Amino acid sequence: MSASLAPECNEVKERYDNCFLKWYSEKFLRGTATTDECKPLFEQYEKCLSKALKTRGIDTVLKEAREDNRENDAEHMRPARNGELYLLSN
Amino acid sequence: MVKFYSQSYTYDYPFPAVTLAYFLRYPNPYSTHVLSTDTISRHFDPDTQRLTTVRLHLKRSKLPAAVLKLLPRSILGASAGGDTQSFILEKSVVDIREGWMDTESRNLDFTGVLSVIEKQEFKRPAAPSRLEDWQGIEGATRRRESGGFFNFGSKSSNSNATKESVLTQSSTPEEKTDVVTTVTLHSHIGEK
Repeated sequence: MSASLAPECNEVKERYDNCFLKWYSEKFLRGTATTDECKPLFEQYEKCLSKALKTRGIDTVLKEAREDNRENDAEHMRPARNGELYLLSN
Repeated sequence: MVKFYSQSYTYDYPFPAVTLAYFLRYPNPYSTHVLSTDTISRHFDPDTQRLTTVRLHLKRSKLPAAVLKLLPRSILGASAGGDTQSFILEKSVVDIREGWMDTESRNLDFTGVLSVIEKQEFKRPAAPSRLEDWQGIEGATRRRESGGFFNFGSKSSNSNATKESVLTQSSTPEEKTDVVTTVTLHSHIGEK
């Protein structure tokens, strides 16, 4: 399993990653998932990680980057795939 | 200045396996420069069966000497040898019902100098609809099964070669995944 950028979050990250991989391969990939079962574990992991991102000053960089991408995201999340390469037409 | 690269490829693995491999690609012995991978956010939509993930990778990189000369190290936070770390933000959406995965990765540091955006579109090939295609799959499945039994426990030197050829023969559209990768390099140097 990959390491967290914050070593103090490794343990909680590993618990979440294990849960996610099990859910992903046994439920999501089979199309039988109804809820994100690993959400409680993710929230614990996120709590640890966001603290680490803040102390390292990465949180602002991230926020900016994700705001820059909002338009992009909207394009990415569009409802149906028509198969064309939208990037090529730009 | 913008530079653009595009490449198409077909993996000999089914779509679900490819999406799983995407999430599991680090750590691996060929990418020791990737130091960490964290999931920043994840959202599952039960109505569309779509999963959206944002991850943050930290990678070690060595700056080219020419770049080092141009930029003061104090700004880059690089060591004397030019070793530095940079963050990559990766976003992915998997739609298991429609059979596609879109990903986008971009660098977060030095974006004023160079921004690199890599996009990948993975797609499950359309299922065959014609009768002869289905018959082809049936035959292939039979061939693979008999091949499997035949090779079971065999230690002969050509056993792997046999398996390989059996797999190639039995390869159906369901066992392949198409991917289109595009990389856009955008440099702001020299821009007003």
